[in-house]
Amino acid sequence: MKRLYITSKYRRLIRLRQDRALAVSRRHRGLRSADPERYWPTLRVVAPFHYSFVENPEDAIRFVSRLHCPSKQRKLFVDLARAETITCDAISVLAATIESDLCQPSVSGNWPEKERPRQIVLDSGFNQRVRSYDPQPSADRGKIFRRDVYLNKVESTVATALAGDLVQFARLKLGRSLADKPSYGVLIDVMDNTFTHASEVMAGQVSWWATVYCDIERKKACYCFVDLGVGIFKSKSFQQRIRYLPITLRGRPEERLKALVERRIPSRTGLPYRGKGLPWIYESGVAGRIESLVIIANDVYARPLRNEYRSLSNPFHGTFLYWET
Amino acid sequence: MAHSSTGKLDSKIATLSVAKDFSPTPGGRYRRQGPNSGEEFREEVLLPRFEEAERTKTLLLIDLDGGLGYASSFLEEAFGGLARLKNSTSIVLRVLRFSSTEEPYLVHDVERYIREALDK
Repeated sequence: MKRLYITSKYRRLIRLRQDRALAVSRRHRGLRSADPERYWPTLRVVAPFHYSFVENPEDAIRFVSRLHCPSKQRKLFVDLARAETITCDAISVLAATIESDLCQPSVSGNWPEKERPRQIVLDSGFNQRVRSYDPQPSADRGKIFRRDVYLNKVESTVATALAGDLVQFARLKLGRSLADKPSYGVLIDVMDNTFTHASEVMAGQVSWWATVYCDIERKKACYCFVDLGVGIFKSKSFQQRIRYLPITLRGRPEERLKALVERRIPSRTGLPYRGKGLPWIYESGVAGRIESLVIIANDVYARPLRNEYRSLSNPFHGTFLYWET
Repeated sequence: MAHSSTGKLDSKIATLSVAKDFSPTPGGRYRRQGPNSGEEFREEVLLPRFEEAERTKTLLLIDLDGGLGYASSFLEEAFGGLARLKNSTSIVLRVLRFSSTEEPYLVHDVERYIREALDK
């Protein structure tokens, strides 16, 4: 049998088959080099007209969810051009999403065409987190800090220096000394929560982003904290706590968040002195030390100081906190 | 000005400034969570000074001013943790006094953490 294949007839047939395969392969490679878009198309993700997590969470979450691409998608274009309004909190989440592991491909984008949203994006500190071929002037009104997990080495600890830098920045820009003290405490408490609860695996395995934007016209410092962990309701600690909740709180997520904020859900440790972070932040708001508190966790949006709690149709992957002083 | 709802004022008062004697940027609850934690403050600074004050029968005035601010977890672990360590809220409230002109509400918060430290 073997001898049959080394005869000249079969050699010719084998050569013919190899040549055809080579031709197909060359044609394939040639097309790839001529038209890369056909093989690695760019996914264009258009920002909503009103891009704000505080005021328009549904559209904003839908937008950032589209940035969570599978690794096969290699290129992404973030289209901010047609956004009519953009708020600083939305820029924080955009920066976090682009820099996170959830967004695998190479990302490019454009600036908003309208002057006001364009200026907010440029002034927010976003400019310093991306490379631009067309550098734009900015008034430097905001800062975006990121805390990371490097190669299994836990770095996402409570970062007192970063929180201090944000608060000092706001003090300096707004020319005030004491108004931002509660914000330092809130930042540390939410970092503490993220360190302990945000990871599915073990404590301290989730990166987070903390930002401040100084709204000079309104004389307000706008703080935002984002982690892209599992979110409050999917954290192991909350899953453990849920077993001991009254039946009325087990079903509706917005009721659960309300109960958590109002300190009606005990800590999973069973220790009454634990689990005071969110309630203390809420109490700071009630006492007027912080304003406009917004919490987004999984599929719940809350403005606790207005007693507004509602469920979201698109869940947010992580935890979002926004407040002003 | 020292604020406290319990205990008698003694003529001898020692002062402990969190910002000057520990850090102007206090951290979270436990050491493992990062630097300048409440646990670290309690073990390294507060407990030795508290025991000295107890021994010499003086009051220890905790000055909460001068720092960038406090997280509830830091204050709870430091002062509530001290009450749990001593297994008594009354001893801690008798020895400690708190002062803050920058954030007066902290005095009330800290005293509440101490009172609730041993709640079951």
